[in-house]
Amino acid sequence: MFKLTKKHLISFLVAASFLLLLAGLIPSSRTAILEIAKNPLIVLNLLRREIGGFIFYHRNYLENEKLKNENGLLKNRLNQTVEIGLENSRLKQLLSFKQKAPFRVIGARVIGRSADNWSSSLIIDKGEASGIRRGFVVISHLGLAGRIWETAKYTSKVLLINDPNFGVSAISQRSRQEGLVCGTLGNSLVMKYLPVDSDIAVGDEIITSGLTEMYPKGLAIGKVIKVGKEFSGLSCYAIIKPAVNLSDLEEALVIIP
Amino acid sequence: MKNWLFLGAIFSSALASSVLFNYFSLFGVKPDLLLICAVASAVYLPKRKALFYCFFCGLLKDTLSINYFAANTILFCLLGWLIIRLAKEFNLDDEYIFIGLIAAGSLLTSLATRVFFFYASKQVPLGIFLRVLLIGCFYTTLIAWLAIKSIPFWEKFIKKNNADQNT
Repeated sequence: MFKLTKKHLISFLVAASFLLLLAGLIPSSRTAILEIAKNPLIVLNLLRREIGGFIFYHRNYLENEKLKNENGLLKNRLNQTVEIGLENSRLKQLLSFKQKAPFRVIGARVIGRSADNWSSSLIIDKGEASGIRRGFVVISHLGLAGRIWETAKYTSKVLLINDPNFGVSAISQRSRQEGLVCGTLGNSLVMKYLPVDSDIAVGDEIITSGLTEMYPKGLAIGKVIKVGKEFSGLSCYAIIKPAVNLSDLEEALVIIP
Repeated sequence: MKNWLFLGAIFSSALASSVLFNYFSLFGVKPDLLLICAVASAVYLPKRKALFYCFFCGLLKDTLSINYFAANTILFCLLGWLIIRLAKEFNLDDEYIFIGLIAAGSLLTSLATRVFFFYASKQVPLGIFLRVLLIGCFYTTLIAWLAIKSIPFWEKFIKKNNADQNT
């Protein structure tokens, strides 16, 4: 069996130091590998889409019919909303409200996902060349999806909202109760640091509060599905179902501040 | 096996786990194909090559996922080194031992990740952690077993193909 001699210990320590040194140098090599992997990832992703389309043909057909009907209804509603929006802007001008600068977005395709089970991330096909930088917010048409974690020239890695590294200040749309939304690696998020007497209930819509830098106020995060008390009894938490279906995300929008 | 072929297999495994295995995830958990490659290289290849491949597997895994530092690169290198040390003491050239090493490797890397999470103050609920740990270990082992069982089929296929070409 193993005998831990002085020689073994020294060689182990040297190897460990070398690896730690290497760990510091690795981010630059990682971006280079990501650039090399971009095209194979795009091809494989197209293949995956085609396979998916073939496997789920019947489901997609029915869904398409349903969505066509829904689309007609939504077009009507959109017209009404546009009218209300125009009226709103006219009234705001009348009241001399300070207009908020609208944000610019860049559309990107999802070309890959996290290769391990301990993080939740995406790889998108836009990078520094398109003006994307670390920390930029990523959304879908349904709401907040994540933020940019790492950028290469033509690709970027997106940290999704259900990753344990993720945290954003959020409020309940109904009661304006504030808390911190974090990822749990599962299909739900957790809103922490809520006071015991907080006014938060199942069904409440949770949106970004605008207090975290870069995150515009009012982005939909999800809906409360459960409220509970922390083990210590000093605070509450709320379990949130994300507004965005993170496992099906194929296109994303990056907000350029 | 030629070097470029093994590197190609590792690269394909990384791409497959990043793109294709989203469809075949079991309760949201994917098999760790790169761990299988790393263990296979540590068991079947000479020491230096094995360590290089382990390093490459870890680097690819870190590239395609999110980590504060190169956790997988370090973990895979350590795992490869441990297996090489074990191979000096015991004969590991048996498929059941290989499967056992995959299962142990999967559990060890997951537990090490949990320790990293703890020190980085990242909270993962115990239920989710156990799900990823156990299903990940089971699924990775299953894929490794299927890969081992499919080797004779591929050998036959390649031999038959070569014979057809010669005739």
